[in-house]
Amino acid sequence: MKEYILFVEDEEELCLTLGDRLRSEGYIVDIAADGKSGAEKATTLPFDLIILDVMLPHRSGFDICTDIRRAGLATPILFLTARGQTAEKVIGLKLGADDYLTKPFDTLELMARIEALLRRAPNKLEAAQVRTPVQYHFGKIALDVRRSIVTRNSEPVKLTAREFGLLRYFAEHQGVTLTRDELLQEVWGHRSGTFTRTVDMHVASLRQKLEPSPKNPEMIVTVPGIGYRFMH
Amino acid sequence: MRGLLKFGIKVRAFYRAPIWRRILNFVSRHNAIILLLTVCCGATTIGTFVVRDMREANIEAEEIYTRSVHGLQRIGELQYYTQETRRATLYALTTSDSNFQVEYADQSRAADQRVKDGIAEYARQGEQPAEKDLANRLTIDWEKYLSVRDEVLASILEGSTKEAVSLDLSKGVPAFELVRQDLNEVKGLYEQDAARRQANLVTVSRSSTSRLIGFLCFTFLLSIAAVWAIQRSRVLSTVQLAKLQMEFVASVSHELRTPLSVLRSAADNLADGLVEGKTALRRYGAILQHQSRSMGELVDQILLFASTEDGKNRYSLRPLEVTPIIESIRADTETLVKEAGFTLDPIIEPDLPLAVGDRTGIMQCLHNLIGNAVKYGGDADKRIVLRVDTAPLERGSDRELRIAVSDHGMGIESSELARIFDPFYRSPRVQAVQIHGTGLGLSLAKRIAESMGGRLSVVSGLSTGSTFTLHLQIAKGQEMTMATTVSRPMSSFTR
Amino acid sequence: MAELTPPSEPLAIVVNRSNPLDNLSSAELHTIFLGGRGYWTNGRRITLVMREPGEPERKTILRDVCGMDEEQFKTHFLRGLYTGEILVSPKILATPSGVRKFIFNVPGAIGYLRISDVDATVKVVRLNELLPEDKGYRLHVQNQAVN
Repeated sequence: MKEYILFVEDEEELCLTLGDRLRSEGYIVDIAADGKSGAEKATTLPFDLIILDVMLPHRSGFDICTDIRRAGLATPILFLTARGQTAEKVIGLKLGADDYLTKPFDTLELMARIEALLRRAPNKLEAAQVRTPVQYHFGKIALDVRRSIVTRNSEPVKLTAREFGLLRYFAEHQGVTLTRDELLQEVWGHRSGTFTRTVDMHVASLRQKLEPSPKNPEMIVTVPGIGYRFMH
Repeated sequence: MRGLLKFGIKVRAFYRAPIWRRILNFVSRHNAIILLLTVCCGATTIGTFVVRDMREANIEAEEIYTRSVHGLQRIGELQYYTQETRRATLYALTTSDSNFQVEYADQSRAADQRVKDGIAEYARQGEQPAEKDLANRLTIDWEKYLSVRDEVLASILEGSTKEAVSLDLSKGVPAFELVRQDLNEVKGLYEQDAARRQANLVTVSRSSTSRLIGFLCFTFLLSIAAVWAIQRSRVLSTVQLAKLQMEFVASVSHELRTPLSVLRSAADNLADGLVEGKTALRRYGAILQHQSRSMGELVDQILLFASTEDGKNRYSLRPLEVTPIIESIRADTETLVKEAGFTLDPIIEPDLPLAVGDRTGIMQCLHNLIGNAVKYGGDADKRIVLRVDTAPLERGSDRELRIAVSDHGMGIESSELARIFDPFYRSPRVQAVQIHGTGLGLSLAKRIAESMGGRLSVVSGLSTGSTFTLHLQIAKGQEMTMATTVSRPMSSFTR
Repeated sequence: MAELTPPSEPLAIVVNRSNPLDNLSSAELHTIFLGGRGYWTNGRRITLVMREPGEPERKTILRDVCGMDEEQFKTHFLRGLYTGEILVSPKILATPSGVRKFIFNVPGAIGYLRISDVDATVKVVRLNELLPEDKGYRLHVQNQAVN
């Protein structure tokens, strides 16, 4: 599954060049040109990684990082900025970023770091791939685990890697009420339960993409007070 | 002016540093001399005091001495002549020759006259009531003695020596004793007077000494304070400058790194063959051009700033037609202005005279100002007005040419108006909204303006916008004749 | 050769200024100058003041007032002092100024001076109601004749 990356940067031409590079690596890139729209996108859409510039119009990247973390999202954040003072790096990392790279950056290094951030949660699902069924069907939805394809009405559905992982977990534990913590741990690999909002967001996104009426979900059902249940 | 009033100006200030700031600058530059002058003044004042007090003390001491000496002399004389009066009288006892006796009598009378004179002199000179009193008593007592002496003399001359002697013993001696006591009192008065004056002198000298010490201490403390203040201000200004320079370095490095990172990223993509197709290649080409030009401009600005540090005039000044220059600047900044979503409205007064300046300089200056207007012009009202007109000078009957760039952006706080022209200075407000900049633009513009014999002024209101005006001198001989916009032979020089 | 008559000068009788005496008759003068009177009316002892023997003023007094010569005068006084009738012998002063000073200093003194030697320090007494400068004043001293 392809990873979704959000790039918040006001320098248009850098968005272009780096966007090209990221897309060539197989990532799906979304751009935000200022802090406000960047924060909006980061907190409403599920991303696998967010690349943030610090010097943005209206709001600094640090503020946006704080917003994202406060919103309960665990999405890995990489700061990309021309300001290279140690104090700034420390601030950035303490605010909850996962990495910090100064401009001008070495393209290969950036790619390597992105990769590292994306594979942080060990994908146990990969190991279990052999034992589990490779295909699932729920109504109009078809899930091909090995090829990492999801179709709806035979039309391919674009899911982020995490969404796919989540869907797969649901599929493997049908009818079981799953707590957010469990989902967070199994799908994201986080031990602490502070980022459960991530789960909610991804569930919402899945509903949006897969359910016939996302507002009245039939497949992924909310169990109040506990978590979610995947119904066939 | 009328135009600007439309936008509701709250604050009006020209870039003339407030008086106290200029004084402080002046002081810190010439602090050594000023300190020296202060110390000299202090020393002179103290010296004057000292000299004055010393002279006064001297005069007083002299007077004490004189009075004492005179007093002593007077007393001495009186004592001598009283004794003489008596002695002469009694010597008459030693002879029976009337001729000699009579001579002694004469001597005695001569002596008593001296005494009388002396007493009269004392009475005359006496200032205090005690002295006058004493003089009176002395006169009376002397008269009393004299009457006894006359009797004694008469007795002696008559030949009744025994009678004379007994009279002298019984009356003469006590009477003389009284006189002697009076004279002692006179001496006593003199001594009292001298003692009093001396006590006075001591008091005066003591107070003068304490005044002197006080003043010295004060001067000393003042010097210390002055030195401390000067040192501190120096340190502060050094620290300040260092801070600004550090910020500048951080700013510059940021400003340079951004285009550099784009160039690098683009280069990496090109090198790794990611860019295919004519359109994409052209796009990348444009990126390379744009970013490298951006960097180039920044480098130019920094170099220009560094080169103007020594204050040498690099512009050749000549009379210029301003209108074509405005046209050029409009063309140059068209892309920048349009891309940022602004409009540039020129309002040019007709029949402008020739201005004294350098074309490059004016272009650079206006480029800076327009760049600033775009940067700080805000989002609400994106009109930039470029107004060119003439106005009378503050003093005299001359006029000047003004080119004003106005925006309707965030404006500048009145407290910062003086500082915005300082090199490296970036207002905290501006930094808070994350606007990029090195803090050099205005400083450069000001230097350019001044090296062309003009000046840069600013009028601003918070949230209403700012107007920066480049003032240029009007070429002499042109104030009266109105230059036309038709190209003249002169303008060929300015191309 | 005609000789100028040596000028004669009145001889004044002088006393101390404190002496109330104003006038003396020739007889009184005679008594006083022979030591016949001891005290003035004011109680003051009478002290006689004479010039030195040989002086014209003394000669005049001796001749005109005392009616004696030097020897007689001396003898008179010696006898008088010895008997106690006369209390004190006359004082002898060498110069007119001495006479003046003596009389000035001694309240009871009486002496004689040429009128030209008189000054304010002594008091002139009338003789028979006559002042020395008056006509009819009968005491004159002759200047030394040339020969």
